[in-house]
Amino acid sequence: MIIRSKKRLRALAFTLFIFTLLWALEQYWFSFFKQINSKWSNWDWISGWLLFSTLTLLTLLNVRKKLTFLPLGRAYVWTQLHIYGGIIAMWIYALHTQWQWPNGFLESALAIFFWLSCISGIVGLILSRSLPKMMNARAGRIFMARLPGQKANLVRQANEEVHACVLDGGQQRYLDFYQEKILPYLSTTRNIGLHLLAARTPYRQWNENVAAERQFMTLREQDSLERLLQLVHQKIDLDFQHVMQTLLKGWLFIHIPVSFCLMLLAVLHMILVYSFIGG
Amino acid sequence: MSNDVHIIRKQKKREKAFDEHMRLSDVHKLMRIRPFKLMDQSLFPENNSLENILLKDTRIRRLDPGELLVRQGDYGESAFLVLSGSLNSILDIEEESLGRSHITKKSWSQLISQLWQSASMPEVRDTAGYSLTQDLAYASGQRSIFLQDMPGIINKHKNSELESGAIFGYISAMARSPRSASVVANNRAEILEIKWQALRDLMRYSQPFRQHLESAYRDKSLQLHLRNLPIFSGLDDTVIADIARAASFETYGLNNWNVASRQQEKLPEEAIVKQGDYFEGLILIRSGFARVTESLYAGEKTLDYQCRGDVFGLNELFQSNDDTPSSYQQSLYSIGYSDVIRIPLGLLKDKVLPLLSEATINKVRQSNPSNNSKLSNSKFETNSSQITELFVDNLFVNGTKTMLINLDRCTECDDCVTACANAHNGNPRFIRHGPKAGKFMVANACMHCTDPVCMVGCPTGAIHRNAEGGQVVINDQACIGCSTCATSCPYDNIRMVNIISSDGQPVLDETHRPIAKATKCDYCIDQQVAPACEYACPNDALRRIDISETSKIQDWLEE
Repeated sequence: MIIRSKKRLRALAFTLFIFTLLWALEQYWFSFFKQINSKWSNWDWISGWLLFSTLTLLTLLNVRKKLTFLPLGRAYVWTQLHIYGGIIAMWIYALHTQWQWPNGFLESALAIFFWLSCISGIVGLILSRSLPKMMNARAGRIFMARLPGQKANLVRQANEEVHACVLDGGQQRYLDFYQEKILPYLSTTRNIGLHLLAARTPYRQWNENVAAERQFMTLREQDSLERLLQLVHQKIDLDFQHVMQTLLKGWLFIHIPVSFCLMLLAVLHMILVYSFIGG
Repeated sequence: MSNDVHIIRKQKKREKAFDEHMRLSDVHKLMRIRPFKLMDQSLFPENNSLENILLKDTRIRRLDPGELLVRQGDYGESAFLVLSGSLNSILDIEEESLGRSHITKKSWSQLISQLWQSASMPEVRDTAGYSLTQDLAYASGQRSIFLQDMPGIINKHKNSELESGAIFGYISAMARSPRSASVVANNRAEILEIKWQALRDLMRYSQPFRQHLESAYRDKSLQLHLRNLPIFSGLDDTVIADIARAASFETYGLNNWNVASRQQEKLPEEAIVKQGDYFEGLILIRSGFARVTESLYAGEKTLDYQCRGDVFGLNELFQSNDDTPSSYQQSLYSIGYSDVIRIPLGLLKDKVLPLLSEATINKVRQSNPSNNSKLSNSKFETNSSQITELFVDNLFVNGTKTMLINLDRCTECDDCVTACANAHNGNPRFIRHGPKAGKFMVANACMHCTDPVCMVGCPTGAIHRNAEGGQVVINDQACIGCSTCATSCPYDNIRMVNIISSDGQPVLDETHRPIAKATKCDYCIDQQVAPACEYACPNDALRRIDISETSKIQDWLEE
């Protein structure tokens, strides 16, 4: 991967530095403070608090998003901190658990929610970076709020087209094909699975459907069918936009609740640790 | 034919007078004084006579000593002729003395209280605040603004006296530029206010009047303008005066291009020079915008745009010599409206080129937009030509704070809209929709234009440019809801809304019609964080930019 942005390069270099620093701390911290018999020799305690602080800082992004009118810096900077902070949190977590899967029920739940939160965040990051480009590349971007209007417009145009063709002598088979195949397709979101895979199959399927039907149509009906096919192609594009945008917003419905649960479990974990701490 | 057809009388030009109190006797009195007595009435068409122009499109105003006639920075549509008394044109008077309301930023406590004080309904207003404001009173003529301590102000600021017979304000009236100075009455004075439409007609039908105004312009503003151009900056006063005398003025397009573009859905364009035309001299853009193009196969490719202060033809000038006549290497088209000045080649060759050093020529070349394109194609990653066309075709180059969205980064999280609504009592002041080219979208948000045509015609001065930051803002209390600004904005970025009171009831006038207000992006002028939309974008997909600052766009794209 070519890193073109100097800012990104700097951020990555800083993250690597933090990684190395934390690893060095973990390696030498314990032995150094053990020698001088200090309470700071407890690496679990240090890394635990470090991890909790990092997670708390990560949740502040949402607070920043609510306080738009306070001079707290650009949301973009906060988002970047959230991303790199998340990567650092994973590293701290690995060092805190010493690369092992916990065996207790609560700790297991904590680990599951931690990794769910991380994975959903990474997936969200990938989606946020890739889907907008995919949506632009394919038939131009239409924002979510405008999709219902655009779809209704397609149905209206199709109805007008069919009405005109029927007035010109369009026959029952043409009308049936429209009412049974095209109109339902124009009226609801279809091919969700295929659109998730960004497949071009719906275009091919519809081209084949229309080609198969064309032989039974008059020239006027064929002409009309061609225009209806163009509308169907536009609808496929709108469905693609709809599915991609749902995905783009949907990952947050996993990431935020999971992160919320993670914070609750982390607090519970700390209460239990302090309740049963020895000495 | 059906008897149900409803027939109304078609209204005619100048049917409604500028001032109903203007009488024929006043007009006859005016026609006995200069410059009207020098005008040949036979040259005016029958349906647009001098008498009719004066009767319908002028008015007489009487000022008391110290009374303010014109405020520096305001946009006006009128020129003025001093009939009696004298006035003073004063530069840079303090805003407070001019009676302008000052916009203060919200305090921290006010900002935080927005969390729970935001209205649950759209466009809620505190109607108790709608008393007659100073701005509204001044604009509607119900109350005048008097300068306090006028001698002190005159001593402190640069000023010049305007005596009986002086005509002023015509440059800003015709070029739609802000008033360059404030004008205040020295003593009891009588002024004839001439609407720009009348001024245009007077200049069209009376050659001496036109020459008189042009001569006055050449002697004052033009010489100053020429001195500020790098190519003429080192020349002495006599040469500058010669250039000013030889310059010719031309106007292209439509003065009300903004209205025409809304009606025709396309900006009117007119060729100023065509590529290949014989090179006759330099073209200075006095106001408006122009498109620079180059022939490409059967069509023309937009290379750049020019705006106020730019000079076209410098490359041709430096390449020209006595032996071979040169031609324009690119075409120049006015977009919407352009006021240009032509400086003839002969004069430039005789009096300017011999005085220019190599260093000056290099400096001029570097500053020349033709060499240093504002919209250089290399500045944009992809679809560069498409983007240049988008900016120029729609005249987005007019914007200084254009909302540009990078669609490759935008995830439609709506944080920009939410932030805008939070900063404006729950009402977002832009629409995330607009023309697209490549990965860019220019959203429907006020661009705070270089040439804010929305301000022309506002009867109360409610829409104005903030003196501190240059933002175009609407004084909600002074807005009378006439929608002149909304219909004038060619970008459709001003919206008229019906307001409701804090108890959720529609606010109506005495005739039970809803009270409307003009609303638009104010660039979060009263907020600590401005603009909220840009600050709230978590993906850095939204920027408010001056389109001419392409280096900033480039930096943004590379981040």
